[in-house]
Amino acid sequence: MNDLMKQFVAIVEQGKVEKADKMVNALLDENYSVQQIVHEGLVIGLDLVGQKLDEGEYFLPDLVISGEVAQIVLEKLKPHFAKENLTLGTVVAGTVYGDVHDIGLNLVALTLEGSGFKVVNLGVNTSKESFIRAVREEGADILAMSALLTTTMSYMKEVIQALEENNLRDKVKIIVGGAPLNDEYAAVIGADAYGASARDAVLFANAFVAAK
Amino acid sequence: MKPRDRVIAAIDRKGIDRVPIDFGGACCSIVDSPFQELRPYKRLCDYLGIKDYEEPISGPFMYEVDNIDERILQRFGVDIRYVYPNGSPLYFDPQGGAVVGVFGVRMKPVGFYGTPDRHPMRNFTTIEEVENYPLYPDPEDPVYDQAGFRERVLKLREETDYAIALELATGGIGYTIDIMISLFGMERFLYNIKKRPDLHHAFLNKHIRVTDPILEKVLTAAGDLIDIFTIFSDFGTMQGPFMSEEDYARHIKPYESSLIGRIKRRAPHARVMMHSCGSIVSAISHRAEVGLDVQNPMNPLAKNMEPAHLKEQFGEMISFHGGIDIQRLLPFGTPKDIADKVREMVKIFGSAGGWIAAPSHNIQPDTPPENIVALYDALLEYGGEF
Repeated sequence: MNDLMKQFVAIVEQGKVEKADKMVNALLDENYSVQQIVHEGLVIGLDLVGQKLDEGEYFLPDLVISGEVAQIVLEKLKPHFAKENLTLGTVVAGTVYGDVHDIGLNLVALTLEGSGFKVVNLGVNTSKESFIRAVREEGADILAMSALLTTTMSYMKEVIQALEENNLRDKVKIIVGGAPLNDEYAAVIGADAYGASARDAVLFANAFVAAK
Repeated sequence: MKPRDRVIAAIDRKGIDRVPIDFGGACCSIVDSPFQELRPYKRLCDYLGIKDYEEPISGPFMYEVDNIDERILQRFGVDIRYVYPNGSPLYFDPQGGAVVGVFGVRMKPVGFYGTPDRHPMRNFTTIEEVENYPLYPDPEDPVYDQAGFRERVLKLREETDYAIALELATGGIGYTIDIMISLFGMERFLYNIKKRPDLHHAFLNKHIRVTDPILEKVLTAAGDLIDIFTIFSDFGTMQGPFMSEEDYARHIKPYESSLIGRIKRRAPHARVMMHSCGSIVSAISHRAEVGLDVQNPMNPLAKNMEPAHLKEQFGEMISFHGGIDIQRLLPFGTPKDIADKVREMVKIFGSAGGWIAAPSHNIQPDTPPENIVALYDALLEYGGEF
């Protein structure tokens, strides 16, 4: 990795919001492709953020400012995305009905977006009707659902049943997450995977897309 | 021991006859909402054969029952009674719509929780905008006049032996981080800590300026009659605090310290309990240092918050409230599991005190009433078997 790309990775990793815009210009001037900027810079930087979060060296404010860098970069690269057809896939994400907890949801949405996915974040308290509408209208490849409460996690099963009734279940891969969940619960309700962290979500999403 | 003496002795770790017991208030009650099919409080009352209970009243952030029936409190051996000064945000909208809570944040009900329907300061970028926000509480608003409050507390103090706890919700006095997150939204709150600390501090200083005169009114009215003041400072997830210890010490601790100091200067006899849930181990010794007496809750499933660990690491400097897990043990355990846990906890903290026994948060709707009764029966039966 050359110096300019190293500097870019450091800007992402350290959340240097004020330097993001100029850095993307510099990379484009040096004829880096959008694909290189995203996959050799942004994704690497966000992955380092994810690792440091997992290891307890970083905290949520660090993630938010790195996420802000990612948003500036992605916004700036947007005109080039369509040209080079670079979106990895579309993810519909939301916290299920009856649940207002969204820290985990937003972490996952941000990290997936930074990794090159288009993310449609439906926010908290999302009904099965809203999930189904979004999956259908966005042509989603992946559905990511979150719940913090033992009393709301069962709603995920209702969403999956509703997808089946609407003949959409085989169109999407489903990832679930949230404090009370585990692999076993994900299997019982008919999800494809359980993710314990935002990094997990990206790993699964990449694997699903690669297998398509 | 009389309940009040027992609670104070437990907080001061001066020796107790049995572990003091709590149920009620914003931190360790049971959720119930008139807009939900499941009515957990109603179910508990039915189970205990209590038919003529009052409809539940809740605070602004979730549908916890703040007016648990006195017969239940007595049946459960509860040593603490909560009082609410005038102007406390205790309400729900009869139609189930959004209500205007503290600092003008509109809260809408979602399940058993309230959530802001928008964040009015989300797009603020200047200190002037923060200063000039029009919906700060007005200390001169007659709603904060404390007429009649002293008489209510005095009656409770003279006619009963319970410890009296006051939640500083009125005017948003005791809520700092929670209000800021509602006003700015979570992401902006976290972003400001790193990139716009000037906005963060401008808001918290303004918070002191508008709420301190209200605190003054409450303490003048009845500060001398209150044993425990409860304040709130939430920044924990189950895995750890939102921010690093360094950021906490720089951006949050000074305001917790200010509030504790302002309470204790005017009510030197009082103990202060802080609600701060999740895994917040890195903040505990900082809080003890600035005079906090009780950390609520002890959530045994949060990372590094196991009771034995907390007792060993911090047991000489602070006391704990909570400790009975509401996420797995109370909803899914058996009455025997619950009794076993009570006996274990009583032995961990021992006869010196340092623990007020209570659920680790508000009891959730999937908890069978027989488990709730089993908890309090076990506390009464084994609470003195150190």
